[in-house]
Amino acid sequence: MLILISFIKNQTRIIEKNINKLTIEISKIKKEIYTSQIDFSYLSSPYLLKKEIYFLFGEDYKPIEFSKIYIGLENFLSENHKTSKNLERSEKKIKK
Amino acid sequence: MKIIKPQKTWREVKKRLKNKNLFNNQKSFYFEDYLESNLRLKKSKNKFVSEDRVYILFFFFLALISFFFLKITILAFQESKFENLKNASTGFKTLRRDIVDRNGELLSRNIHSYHAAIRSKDIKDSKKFLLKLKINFPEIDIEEIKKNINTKKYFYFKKRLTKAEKDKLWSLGEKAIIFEPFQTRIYPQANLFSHTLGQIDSENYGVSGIENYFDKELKDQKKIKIPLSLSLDANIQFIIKSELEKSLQIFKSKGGGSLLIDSSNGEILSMVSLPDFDINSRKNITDKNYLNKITKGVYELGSIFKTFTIALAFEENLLEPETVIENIPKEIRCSKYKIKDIKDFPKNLSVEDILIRSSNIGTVKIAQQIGEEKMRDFFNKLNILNTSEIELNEVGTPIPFNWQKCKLETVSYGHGITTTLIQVGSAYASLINGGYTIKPTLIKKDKMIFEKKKRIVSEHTSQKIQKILRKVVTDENGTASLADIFGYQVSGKTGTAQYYNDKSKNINTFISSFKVDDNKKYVLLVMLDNPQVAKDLMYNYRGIKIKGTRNEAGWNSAYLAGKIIEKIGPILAINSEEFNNNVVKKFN
Repeated sequence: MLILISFIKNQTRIIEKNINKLTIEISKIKKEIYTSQIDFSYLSSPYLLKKEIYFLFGEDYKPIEFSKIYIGLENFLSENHKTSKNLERSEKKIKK
Repeated sequence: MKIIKPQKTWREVKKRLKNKNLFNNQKSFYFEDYLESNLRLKKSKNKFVSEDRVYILFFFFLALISFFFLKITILAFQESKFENLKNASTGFKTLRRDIVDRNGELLSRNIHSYHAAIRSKDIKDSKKFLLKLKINFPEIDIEEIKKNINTKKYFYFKKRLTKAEKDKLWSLGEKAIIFEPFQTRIYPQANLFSHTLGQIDSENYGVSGIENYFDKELKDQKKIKIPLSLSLDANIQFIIKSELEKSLQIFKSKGGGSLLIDSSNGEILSMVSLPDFDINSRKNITDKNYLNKITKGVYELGSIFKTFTIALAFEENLLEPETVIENIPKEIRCSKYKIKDIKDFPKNLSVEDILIRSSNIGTVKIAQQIGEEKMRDFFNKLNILNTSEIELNEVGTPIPFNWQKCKLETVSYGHGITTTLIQVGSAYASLINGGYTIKPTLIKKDKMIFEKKKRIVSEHTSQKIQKILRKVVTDENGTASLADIFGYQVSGKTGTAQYYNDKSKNINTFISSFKVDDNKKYVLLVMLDNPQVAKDLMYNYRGIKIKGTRNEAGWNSAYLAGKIIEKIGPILAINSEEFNNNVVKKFN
């Protein structure tokens, strides 16, 4: 019984040691992620992004026009339908 | 059997004992018997000794086994050492929860940092030591350190070290430099939420803003891994802040503020107050201009109050938008006050026109019909006169006043009454959301939690007032044409007022609402502190290019609101529920 227990205990200790090693490695990675998230948050902050865009393309933030925002699929299809009809009409006019 | 005579004297006994042969030579039965029994006794004695030894050994082993058994049982029930090691190996145990915006963008987080201290007794060569410090940290006053080394045993060399500074000090290899670990808060967005987030002190206690208000919740170790989600949106906040900063330059204003509220549930998406400051650096700011203009600043907001007066008239069924108020005088005298309009208006004006043109006298006439009591009750319902309820401790209280002579008249058009921008913003949101009270909040709400409970005005009144407010922006006589951005159904009311204690300075405000879909309406409030005429600015006024000549809210605050709506509108529209349900889900 004693031998069995000591054997099991030894094996458990070995497993524990391995788990500890892995846990330490995981915690190191976690720490890295923890700090990287702050870096990411800083680097992707709107202020820096705007600065970078301006530096790379020389452009400021431009909003999309409301007429180009389609609230629903039907809205999108009807707008396209209107545009194609207008095109057809103008083509017909040109032909005439 | 030989009978031994009893010994008479001690000497005789002694003599007998001295004679060794006496016992050896004794061959009597008695002695033989005695020897045998003695041997038997001896044997039995030995037997007992060996038995005892066996018992001792047995008990020893029993004790040993019991001990091991006990130990194993205890170990079995004990928490595994591994668990303890796991916690220890994680190393960094944060003391405060993260704060994130509504999109999960990190706004505040605790990190490990160090203070550098010097233990003077460990310095071997102080000259060399000081020289090393001087080379690496030329900005530091070496004379003071020298003095400290001579007088003090242990003192701080530099607090809150950056990583580069720590590495520099570490590379000096000086035993006397001690690195004291501590936790500090970092704000990756720096100035963006300076008035809202606040700061913590060196003892990890929140001293201002959200950090102060939610100090207990942020330190709750049970929720330590769950970040505190705010209703604020970093992208929207940045756009509004940028536009406000531009406007401060254009109109040479010394400060300003802006507030964006979701009218359906009171969530604050943006709260900007300028000038602001970097919350990563600790400075003692005493200039009052840096206070939170949205929650702490108490202002007289002028014509914005006409909206409330006219809404009450509708609610009380006293008037309709088309009702004409006849014979409006050019000037009214009330006690020592002269009340007049900014320009000449027609004699007869409909209620609608009074709000569109922003007629002071017309509003006074309406207020006189309503009466003081109803007006007072309505303002109480709107929570304009009490201290605002919001998750910040930096909250201003409106200046109390007595409803004496002329108060009803002046209050009706927003003079002689002060309040905070957050209170006006939420009151306005209640008017345009169908009449339900909303409580402004900085915490992201679960949609299911929100319940429409109390009403301020009826749905009917809400619709009537919204129609008129839309005309303030679209009508040719309206005061806020510059805020009319195509597609967003902008409506609102301008307010030009003087400082409560300095009539030479203006507070120009524009409170507006705009739609991004059928269900979502936002309230945007902008305020400029003492703006000046922008002579160099070319306005696009209803398709005509004109230069700036005027200084009312319609020419600066409304212009600014238009610029903001134009930029944030698409973001809000794309984030809207309708867009997500109809477009995003279908295409995915």
